[in-house]
Amino acid sequence: MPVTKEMLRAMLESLGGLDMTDDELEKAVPQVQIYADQAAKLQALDLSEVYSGRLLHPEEGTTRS
Amino acid sequence: MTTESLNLLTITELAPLIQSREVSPVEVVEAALAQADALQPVLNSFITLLADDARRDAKEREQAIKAGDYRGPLDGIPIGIKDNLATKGIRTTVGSKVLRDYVPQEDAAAVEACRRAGAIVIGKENLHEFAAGGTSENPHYGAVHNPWDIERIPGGSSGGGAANVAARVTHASIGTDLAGSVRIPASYCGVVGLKATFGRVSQRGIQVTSHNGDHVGPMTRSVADCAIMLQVLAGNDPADPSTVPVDVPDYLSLLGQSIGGLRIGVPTNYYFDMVDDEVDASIRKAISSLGELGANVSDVEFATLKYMELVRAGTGADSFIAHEHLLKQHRDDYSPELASRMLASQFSLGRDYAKALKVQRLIEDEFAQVLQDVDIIATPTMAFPPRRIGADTAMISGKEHPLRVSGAGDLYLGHNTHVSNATGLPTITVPCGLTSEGLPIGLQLIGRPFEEALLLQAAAQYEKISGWGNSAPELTN
Repeated sequence: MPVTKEMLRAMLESLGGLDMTDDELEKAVPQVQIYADQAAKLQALDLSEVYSGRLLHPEEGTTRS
Repeated sequence: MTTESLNLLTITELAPLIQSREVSPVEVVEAALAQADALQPVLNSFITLLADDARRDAKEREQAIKAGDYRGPLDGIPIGIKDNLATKGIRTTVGSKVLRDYVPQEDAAAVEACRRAGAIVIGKENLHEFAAGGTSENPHYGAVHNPWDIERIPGGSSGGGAANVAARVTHASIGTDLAGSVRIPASYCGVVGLKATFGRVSQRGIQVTSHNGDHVGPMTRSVADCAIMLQVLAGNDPADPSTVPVDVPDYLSLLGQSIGGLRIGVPTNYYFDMVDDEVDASIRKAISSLGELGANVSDVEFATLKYMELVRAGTGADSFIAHEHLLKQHRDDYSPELASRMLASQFSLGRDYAKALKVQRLIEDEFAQVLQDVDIIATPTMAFPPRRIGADTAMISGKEHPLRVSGAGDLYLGHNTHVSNATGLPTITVPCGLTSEGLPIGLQLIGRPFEEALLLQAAAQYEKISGWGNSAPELTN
């Protein structure tokens, strides 16, 4: 999804955050675009099998699949 | 002994001379201050030199040692402290204009530990602005220069410390490492740098940092000196809940042990992705040397590292939160580049951050699995040699590539180092050669949690046969 200055301004207004000037928003767009691209990859990733606890040693029993 | 010859000694060589009172801490500190005065105009490695304090402390240690109060191998040794570690009564700028007059009321835990061991702090060392990048091109205090080629970056963010150790100004320096900030400059300046296991060394007193993955670590001229420093720095700190109450072994006594039978894994992916031909050859040769020492070398693969970019995307939110209060009141005192990066980071969503942490866990899990089959993983510390100061490209195998200082991007200084911050695993860099242009190359060794002793042992054995230990740039001649 292409990130725009208007989108960032709307996010700041609705979600709060540090105010940014027009120039600052302009400069932020390409960086936020990188984050957005990475976030899209994150959303596409199935992490349902990643648990907070794990068994480290196979010989002690079953490991996570 | 002449001033010059004192500067050239490692801590391991100097300590017995101080203990036997053949050499006084006063002489050693005078030698270090003379070298600092001579090279500060060239390297710009200090933000604040502490000549008067250092002379006073050296005199105190001289008297104490004379009275029988010798505290161990760091006693009377001149060291440098990165200027993002709090020092009581001494300004701590964090390389920023925002904190140019900030004077902490207490020492960071690492500074406390070094002082307790008798070390003499001779200065606060220059760094990347807010330690938030890998070049040490500081817009407020000037760029740090690499002693091997003063037109090149020393790496960062602990660039002043690595430059000082390499240029024989300090005998050790203390840095911090959130994405490679000890190991990047150590590698680029041809010295040893260690990031211990997350939880091994107290982070208390690192100023303006992320809550996720920062470490305090030493830079030294030899592996034995690194062991001495870790001995002093390691241990549980009740005031820092991130430290872990595990035993601290006697690192120095384990250094001489053979690495016969040690299992070393060499990654087939990620760490060699963008590697320069000369760096590649040097690393492969170093790994062969470890094999000749009796280690069993095999290939390993890290399928999950293709997601490392996603972890990095998440870390932006941590940085923003560390800076939010300062950005509110002092935004104009930030460099435009850093302000812009930090402000952009506020758009990270909690959902994405939480997922990035899960990806981090995925990577941690894979390292834990691989480190059941091998004892140590060997990689290049830096995939390519240090670039010229002010350049926005790096040369890789004779071709120019666009370079980003930090944050997400194609070619990132922390590519090979940042992974160990995500996993928290102990990681050391040790010099393993020079490029045809005379620029240092570093071998990175990664171990299991709290197995720093094994890393130091392997690094020491390699150092002994490599001939690269304690190599000095021409500038010091």
